[in-house]
Amino acid sequence: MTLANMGKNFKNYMYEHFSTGLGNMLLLTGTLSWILSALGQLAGIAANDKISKEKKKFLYPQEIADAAINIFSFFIVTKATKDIGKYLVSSGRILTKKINSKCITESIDIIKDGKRVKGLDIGNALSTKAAEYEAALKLSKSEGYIIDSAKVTKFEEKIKDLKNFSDDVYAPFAGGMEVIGSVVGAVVSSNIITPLLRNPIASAKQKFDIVNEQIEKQQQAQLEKTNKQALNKQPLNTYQPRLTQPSGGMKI
Amino acid sequence: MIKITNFIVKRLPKKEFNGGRTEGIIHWFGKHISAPENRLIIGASALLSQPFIDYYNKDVDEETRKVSAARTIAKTIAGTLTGYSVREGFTKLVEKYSEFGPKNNFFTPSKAIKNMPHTYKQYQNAMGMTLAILGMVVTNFAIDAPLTNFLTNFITPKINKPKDGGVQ
Repeated sequence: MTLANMGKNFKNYMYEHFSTGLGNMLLLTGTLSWILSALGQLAGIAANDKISKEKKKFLYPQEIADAAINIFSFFIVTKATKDIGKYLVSSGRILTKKINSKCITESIDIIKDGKRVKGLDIGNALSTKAAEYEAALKLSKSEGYIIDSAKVTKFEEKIKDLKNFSDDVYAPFAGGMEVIGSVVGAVVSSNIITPLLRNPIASAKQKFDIVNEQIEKQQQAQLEKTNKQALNKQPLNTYQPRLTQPSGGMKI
Repeated sequence: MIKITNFIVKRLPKKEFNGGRTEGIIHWFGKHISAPENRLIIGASALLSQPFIDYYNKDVDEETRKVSAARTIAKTIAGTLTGYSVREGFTKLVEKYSEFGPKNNFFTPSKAIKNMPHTYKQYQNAMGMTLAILGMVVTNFAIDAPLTNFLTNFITPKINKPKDGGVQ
């Protein structure tokens, strides 16, 4: 596969998977950007010589705790709120009058036998309807059939109408609910959950590091003291001349 | 996760909008809010909450709390400015080079449908966001982190000034 083909496939993949709503993209790129941001910030703390070693002992674990909790809570909370926003519309619990009317005209059941239809996705149902009209149009134009121009026009109009409706009415509403869900989730997770959870973790780590450092300092001081005492003790041979010299020696 | 989401969705009230302001706001979010705006919202709300949570964190000494709050303010400002600019820049770049036609079509997918402008706009935003991630690999280290350090060093003395006040 050539580079040009790879590029072409990538663009088409992006168009097919991310053009219906930005919720998934916001979640995915948001998570990746928090990872990159955390790596950059850790490098930044290391490079900042105006922050003391003592404070860095808090800021490193704070940054790591921040990143871990942020990424985790961002993904979990934002995904949940984004999905709630999306499902509220796709399942038909929150609708607009226009969407409801379209579902009735296109025989998309939201409620069947007094109960909500399980697993309903109105967006997919609209796309399926458009695909059915396209198939019917293709069939009515194919060889062996007498072309009924009225039918062809009707199918063409239906396809155009459904695509316009999806693009202009359904997608902005469903996407809007998904984006609102993503924004709410991101704000709550990044700005409230993360700082409330990371601070106790970071301070516990700081206390642990400080205690460890104090123990190390005490051990070092003890070692230095012992070494000093050992140096002060003179070896026995330094007393040897005193014993042999008459003036300095002991008279027995 | 899906089960929890479904559980919550089933318990939320049903609602049908008929025009009105709320429906307009939801539509507006769907049409206009993309990654750059999302980053701005997160950044602005972060400035309103995080520094205060850090400043009143009683688990650490006062000096560390001040540096921590200053750093959070600096990080939020630097992150929001860089994040917004990079996302906006790449989205504009994709918009410029994804025209339907013989020129400026580097990012135009062959499967794109011309008469679905909202769908196409979402694609342009998504492509811009993807490229912005690559851009952030560079900017997070080259701009974001040094700018955070500069702002931290600038803000910390300002927080230190008052003897008994809060974040100034």
